[in-house]
Amino acid sequence: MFANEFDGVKVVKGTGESLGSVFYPSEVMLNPFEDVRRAQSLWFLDGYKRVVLVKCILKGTTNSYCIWMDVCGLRKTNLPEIIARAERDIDRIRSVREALGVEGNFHRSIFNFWQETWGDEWSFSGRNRMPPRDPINALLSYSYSIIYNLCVYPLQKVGLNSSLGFLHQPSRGRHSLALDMAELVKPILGDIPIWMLLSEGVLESDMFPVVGDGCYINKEAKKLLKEKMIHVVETVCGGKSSLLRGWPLKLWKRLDKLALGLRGILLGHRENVKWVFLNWRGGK
Amino acid sequence: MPNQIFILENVVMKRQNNTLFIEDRNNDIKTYLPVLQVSEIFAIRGIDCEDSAIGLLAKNRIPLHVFNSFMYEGSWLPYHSIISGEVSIAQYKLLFDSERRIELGKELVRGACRLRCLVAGNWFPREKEKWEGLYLEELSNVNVNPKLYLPEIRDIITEIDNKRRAEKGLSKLNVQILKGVAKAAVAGAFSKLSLDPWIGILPDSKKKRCTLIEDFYFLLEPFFVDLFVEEIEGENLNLEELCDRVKLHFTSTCVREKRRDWSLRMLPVREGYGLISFFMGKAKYRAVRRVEMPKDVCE
Repeated sequence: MFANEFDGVKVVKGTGESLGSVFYPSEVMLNPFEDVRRAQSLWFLDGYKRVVLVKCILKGTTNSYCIWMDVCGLRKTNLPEIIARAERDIDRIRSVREALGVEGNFHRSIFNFWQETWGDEWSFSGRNRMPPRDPINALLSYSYSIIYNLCVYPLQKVGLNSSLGFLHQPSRGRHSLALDMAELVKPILGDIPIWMLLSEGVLESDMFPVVGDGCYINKEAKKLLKEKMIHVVETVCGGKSSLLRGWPLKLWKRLDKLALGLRGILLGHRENVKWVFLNWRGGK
Repeated sequence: MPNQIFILENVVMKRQNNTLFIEDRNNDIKTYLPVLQVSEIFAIRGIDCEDSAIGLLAKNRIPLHVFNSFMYEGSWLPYHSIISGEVSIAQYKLLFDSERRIELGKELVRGACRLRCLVAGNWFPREKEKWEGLYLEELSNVNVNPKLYLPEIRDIITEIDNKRRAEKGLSKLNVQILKGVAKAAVAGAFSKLSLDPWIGILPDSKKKRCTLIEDFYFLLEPFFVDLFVEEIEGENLNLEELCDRVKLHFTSTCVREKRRDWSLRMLPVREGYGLISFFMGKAKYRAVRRVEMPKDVCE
């Protein structure tokens, strides 16, 4: 009718909303969700398989940070070492608890790098949120929340239960699987544009009003960030494309592919358990 | 309190000023529908709904039931109503375990047979035992050999239902219409629950109906369909009157508990709460626990 179709089920997303809608026909001819959700729950409940998938998410995250490193020209810093160390740690993970520790340490090292570069200029002293207390944290929080919302719909479209995450524990009111998928997207769609804006020196301190304990972003900075996010998509995903719901079509396709990739892993359609935003070959 | 809305004309629904806007092109009527005052929408003569309006409905957890001249075509449901990964995983853990699923299936069939016996007893007081015997025989078959009988039980029970309705002389068309309304009402209840409506309890030989919506519909069908069809049988109602009567029928009290009374419309939600408690290991599940014939029907 007016929706995307997947396995006979129409899933539609309203403009600007993270919630999708699904059509339940009067006579169900085929239940498109049963197999994929059975597989999803099996991977979640099997301790070994869940760790395999969590490692796969973390490897995907380091792959995305490699893209960040190349696009922003940071290869000659200590970042390659941080990423290589994280990859060694990921290989040694034996439980989800350990994985959360590795992920925390890795992100701490990354944000230490941010602090070394931008700490003095933008009073950035590490990641903080709810509310963010400095402009860089405000930009990171804003872009990460956009990315999280962008990830919900593609996952729902391929029939996955977006509330059932592997790295992020499922809980009430959050799409944990979208948080997992966002880990792969955040370095590219969040970190790269912010790093670029900071490097270009286009951001001014008055774009970040401080209210109470929190630092917020004004409309102008939001606009600059969104434009830069779109620019990064065009750079990384190869060229311009028309916009759909405010975002390049190529980004939607990439996110759809990412969600399909996860579906393929869960259903065992793929031989190797590899989940990356983009197969990146050293800056090409 | 948000209300059920029955739209009796074929309309176009749009999103405008962050609420719903309805346009009836045949009668040149344009009106806003305040989204916060709507619990669910029944579009009786079909609807042309814009993508953005569907998104708004999903955001506000409002199901949209689409009919074609009162024949049910399906429902737009929010993909996620109340997001709770913990409930989902508890549901999958139990329902993807074939042994535990069978035990739960047996309980569901017991509940379904109990409601059917209540209706049969009310319809045919003198032949009560005959009808009860038919249902209870199938229930005992399920209990003796669940793997063999559970996948077929829906069809078997439906056959007995059809015989019972034929003996009562109910119009097939009215039954068909009410079945659609009932299924829509059951599907709509899932917008108030954190359960995954697509993963059901009863196995199905045709592998079509394994959804929780179909299970709840099978369980509660006698109250939603039979009691109402009997009530309107022989009356010559126009569409508006019929919708008003459906609304009224949905408000019949079916459970009286200390804390609150439960109307027919809320019965699927109550069953959902029961299942969630069971999935989370907090209480045993008893299908249609304490559900009795609505008083107005008994009188």
